[in-house]
Amino acid sequence: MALKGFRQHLFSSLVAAFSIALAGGLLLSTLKIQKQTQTSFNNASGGFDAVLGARGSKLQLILNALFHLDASPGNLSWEQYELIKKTPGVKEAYPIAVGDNYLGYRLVGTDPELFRKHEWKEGEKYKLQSGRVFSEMAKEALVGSFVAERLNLKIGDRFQPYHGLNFKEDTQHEDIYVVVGLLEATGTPSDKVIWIPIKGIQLMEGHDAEMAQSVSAVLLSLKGAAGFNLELKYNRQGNQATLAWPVAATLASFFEKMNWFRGVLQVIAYIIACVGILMVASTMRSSMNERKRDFAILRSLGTSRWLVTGVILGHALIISLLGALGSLLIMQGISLVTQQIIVEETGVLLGGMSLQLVDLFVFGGVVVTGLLGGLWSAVSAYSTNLASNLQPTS
Amino acid sequence: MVSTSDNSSEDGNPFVVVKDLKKSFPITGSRRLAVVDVPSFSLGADQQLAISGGSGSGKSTFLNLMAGIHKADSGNIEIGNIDISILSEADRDQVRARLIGCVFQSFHLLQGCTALENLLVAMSVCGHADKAKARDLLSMVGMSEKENFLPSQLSVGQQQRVGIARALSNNPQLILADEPTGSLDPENASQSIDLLQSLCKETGCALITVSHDPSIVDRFDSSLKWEDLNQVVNTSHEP
Repeated sequence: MALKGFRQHLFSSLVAAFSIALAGGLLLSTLKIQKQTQTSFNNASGGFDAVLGARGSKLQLILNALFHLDASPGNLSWEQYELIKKTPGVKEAYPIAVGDNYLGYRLVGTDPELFRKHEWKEGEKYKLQSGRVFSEMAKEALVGSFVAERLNLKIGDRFQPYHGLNFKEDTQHEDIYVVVGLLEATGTPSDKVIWIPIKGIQLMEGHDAEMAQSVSAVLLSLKGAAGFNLELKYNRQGNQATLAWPVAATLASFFEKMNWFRGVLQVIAYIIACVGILMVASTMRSSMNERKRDFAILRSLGTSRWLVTGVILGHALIISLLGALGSLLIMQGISLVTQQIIVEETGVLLGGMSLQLVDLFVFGGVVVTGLLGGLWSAVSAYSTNLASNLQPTS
Repeated sequence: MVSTSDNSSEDGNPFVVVKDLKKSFPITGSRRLAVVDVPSFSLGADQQLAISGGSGSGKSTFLNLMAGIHKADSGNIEIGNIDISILSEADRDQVRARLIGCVFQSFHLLQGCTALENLLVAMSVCGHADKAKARDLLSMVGMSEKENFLPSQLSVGQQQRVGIARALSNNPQLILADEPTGSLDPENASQSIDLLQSLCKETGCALITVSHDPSIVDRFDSSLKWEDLNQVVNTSHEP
């Protein structure tokens, strides 16, 4: 009977289910994306604990040096790099230099040892799909997997970089680089850049002579309490450079500032949920009004009040289950699109977006929401007066 | 007081026994309208009885009381030795599902269900939906070719046949037919009442038919006038 009711009011039932699905899907998505974005960004720091750069914003430093976004706040001298490299407590120090691009994809100059020794994730060093790491003094390039796929770059391909961080056709350099290696995907921003020797950026034709002895930033792995000491040295006592440490805390404060946006999305989701409840209630009410006679007939056949109520609740349950399933699909859809956008923009691959046990709680919540919408009509069905809906004729 | 002793079954034990049955409905404020006041009534297990009377005189209310749809203000109604007047609503529902079949003037078929499904729904209320039996019943009323038709696709005569089949689907021991031919033309009315009477006889089911149509009442061996059975003078009263 519940299925029949659903079929008889198919359009309005589907609309109600969709609105519940939308609410549930939005809510699930905002929760997951917010959580996974923060986690994935933290994990995408490339295995580094800190970044040393020119005096300025820690967040800008991290975004530029680790996520290859935004402009560098300035340059450090080569001496400053050499100094920090030798500082006790510094396990690894890799210089990077930026300032050029190839068709919009950033060129990052660095030490080739980064790809031989550094663990971008615990226990994981960079791996090559093919080819080799560039030589320190050669005009050679190691291409991140995302860039290789998008630009269809292969071993042996040659290219001329363009000046600046954004592509402009009339800023092409004379230097010609050859692709010698392709990196395996890491799901981090490393995939979205073209790696060349740091000397390449420093000595690129057309760059200022000052660049030859500068670096954009230094990527650091630390041990022990080095972070505290360096924080004191550079940020509190010094005024030449800024140490962005710890990376996770800086990112966390950034995400905290974005919490208002998550709050707005959640409010929207709750509003849609209320609309969903009202839609279910409206559908149930309409169904109830049209089926009062049917319920009276069922009662006249000996069906109990509870069973008749169950028919209405069953109809609401069908809508709710459809809505809940729809919410999972919508969540997956939004997640896929968001993942794609974030990978395209930052190179960070959001993990943990697949269905998890905790999502079942939201699934259950969506079902309960739908049932709530049917509650009023269920009560009405329970109290349907049999005799008045089967009027006596004499 | 009307004696209905000539309506007892062959073994003398009545299947339906009504004693001092009263029912009134609220009208305005605390005033109530008395509708049913039947001091005594009985019917044998396989008896067929027609009750005649004018419209609005309380006949349908009397049937609804026996079906357990209304609860009496006072008095007793025994259906197959079960006093339904003291039962809760849920228990009366169960008795109705197991022992009583209803045929209505307006057929009261579930519009979203086919002829077959209408019977299966009625059977499932008792917990034994049997498709083969439902098909047999439809065949008995001449509706086997239309088992997948919706009520809107059937003529009024055909709908009433399905209504009769549905009333028999739960193996009732008593059929209550409230103006079963009220919406039918004379030809369909005649066929429907013949069908109802023959099927009740075949299944050994008691039958009470309420009708204001003399041509229908005349088809029954036993008949009563409602005015003779009901003592209500039709005045409203304060409780």
